[in-house]
Amino acid sequence: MGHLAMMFAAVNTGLLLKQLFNATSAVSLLALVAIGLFIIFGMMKVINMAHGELFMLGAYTMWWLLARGINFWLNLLAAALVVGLFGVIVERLIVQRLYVRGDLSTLLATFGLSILLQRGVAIAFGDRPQFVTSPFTGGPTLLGNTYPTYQIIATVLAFAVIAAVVVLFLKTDFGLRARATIVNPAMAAALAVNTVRMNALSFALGSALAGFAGALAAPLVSVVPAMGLDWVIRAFLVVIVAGAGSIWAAAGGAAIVGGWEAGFTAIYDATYAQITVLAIVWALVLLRPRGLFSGTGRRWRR
Amino acid sequence: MNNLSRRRILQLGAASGALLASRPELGRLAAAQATPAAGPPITIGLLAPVTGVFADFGDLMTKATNLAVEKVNAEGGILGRQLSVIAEDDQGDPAVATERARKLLVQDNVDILMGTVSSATTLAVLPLVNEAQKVFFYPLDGEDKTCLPDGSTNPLVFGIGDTPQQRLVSFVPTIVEQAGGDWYFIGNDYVFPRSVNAVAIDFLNEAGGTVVAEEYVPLGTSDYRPVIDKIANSGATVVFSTTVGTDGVAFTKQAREGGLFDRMTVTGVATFAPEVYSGLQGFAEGVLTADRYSDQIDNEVNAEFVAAFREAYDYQLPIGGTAAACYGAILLWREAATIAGSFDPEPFAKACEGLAMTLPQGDVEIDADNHLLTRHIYLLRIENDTYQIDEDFGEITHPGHEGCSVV
Repeated sequence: MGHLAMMFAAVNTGLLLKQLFNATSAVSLLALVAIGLFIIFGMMKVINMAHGELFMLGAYTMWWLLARGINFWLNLLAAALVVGLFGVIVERLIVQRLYVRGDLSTLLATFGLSILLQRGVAIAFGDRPQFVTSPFTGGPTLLGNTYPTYQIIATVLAFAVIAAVVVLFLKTDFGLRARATIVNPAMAAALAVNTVRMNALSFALGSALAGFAGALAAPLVSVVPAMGLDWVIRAFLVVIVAGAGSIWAAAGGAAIVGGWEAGFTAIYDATYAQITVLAIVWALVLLRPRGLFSGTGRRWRR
Repeated sequence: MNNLSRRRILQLGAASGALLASRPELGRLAAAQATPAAGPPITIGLLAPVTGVFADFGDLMTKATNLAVEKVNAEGGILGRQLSVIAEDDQGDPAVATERARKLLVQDNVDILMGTVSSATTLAVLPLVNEAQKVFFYPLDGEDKTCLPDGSTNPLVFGIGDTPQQRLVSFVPTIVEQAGGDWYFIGNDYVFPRSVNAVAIDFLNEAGGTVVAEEYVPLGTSDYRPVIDKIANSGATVVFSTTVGTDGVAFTKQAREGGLFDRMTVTGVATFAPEVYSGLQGFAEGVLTADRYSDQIDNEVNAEFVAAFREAYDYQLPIGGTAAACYGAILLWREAATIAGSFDPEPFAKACEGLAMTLPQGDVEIDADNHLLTRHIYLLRIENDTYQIDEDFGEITHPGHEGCSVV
């Protein structure tokens, strides 16, 4: 009821601009989470079911440090470091021992880890939502709509970090080795790329990105042990759409999934936004089973 | 089993010790059961989801029940018998609830059953209760579930939360008067928000207001910004939210940041419940909501409950209706059993009918006709980390079995 009227009401320049901003902001956070997942999946073919919990750990690191009076911006950095380090430990203790046995054993192990982390955090801090607020309240108003200062900064920061990761992958020696490992691990190893070390580093980097995204999102969302679920599901959709081809593909997939959800919710309805996004993913998987951006081959791999 | 070395068993032992240390109520529960009693103890089956999406509610239910049992036992028990609690985790899942309820009713043969959070789990348990002929109390708010499929009152079932009709009958016209009648309804996409909104819309129409839009968002959504900006630009004067739990916290945070509170009156039920206040805090400052309980209620029973709860669990946040209801239930039972002179289901249930007393929630009476609690509903204002009582709407009775969901 009233949806059609609302669609027309949405043709209001102020609201349209604000909704574009909302979509951009949603895409930026989702891309951070999805790129972390993509790096781990692309590099090691490990489907990291605990990725949402790494996001959650980042948010809890932010909350824990903030409650002890430590500066918000330092906490963002700390969350990335803490969760990145945690990723190294997980890779060393669990993933490295299992991934030679195939996808299923790492999938099950990381799934178990996700339950362990959720319940562990619940036992330590309780299931109730924790309080995290941003350093700013409100923000500038444009055509009748408020653009919260924190959300502007968070969006810019997220895109800056994504840009840094892209540069790392495309312009550095590490990136060259990483891409070589993604494309053909056996050949990379034969050419003296230390793939074991590459795996550890990529797991740490993917984890750090999830932790950073969790800390960045903490003032916006509900900080609870199960908070990672919504993000990890959408991040998986992104990786499915994008395929394991290139880092650009992951960013493009995030734009499709996150942008469609925010945009369709804005003009119509949130439930249908989630249904249609699944339909789009289904269609894309049918049309391009190896990933949306895989068809053009080499161009996307650089 | 030769893999299970002695060292490993010691580790497991240490782990369960650590679990007991981290959950003091478990230890206290064990201690309460060890107290020597005059007759055989009265066993209370508690069905509370201490894991799953309602874990926080299940935790509060367990804590409040244990607190009341401890108090009643220290004061001599019921009819000279001590109380003991057998708690089971229904995980908020109807299938699990059915299995655990059967375990409590048949295997443990409890004297009385209390619990469940969601309507779905309550409805799953009801047939078992009638089969086992045991008395069942459901303590949380929600639509009427005390009727039988033929529309008569279930003799063994009592609902001591409040119904949407009770909660909203005075609240909706009050908000229309204060903030206008153009309402935007936003809730999560499942049964509870839709049934609450159906009731709210009836009252809104009666008060001369209009529905600007009614919109539902899937449970578990973390980004409400596109919806919030639609609301902000809709021309509504009031937004009535039934986004629940962690969704409600995300909605409130983003609505506050996005300036929605500056443009219209933001209110609702469930969204601003004390149970999620830990996440809301300053984001909900100044919000008006209707509820069946506030820890600010001024009576002796409540003062004792609040002080005991804060001390036992080192709990500094506002205490909500979930905990108060479970605590109150045990006090109701003591009174009813004393009147009946027995804990046998039939005389006990009869004694419950029409029972009136003062509980932490204020003066209540179990309605003899519909088995729901006639009780006070309060207009609460969230201010400085407390739920201040702005207005007492007085004692409100649920009309018959209106909206009963038992089919």
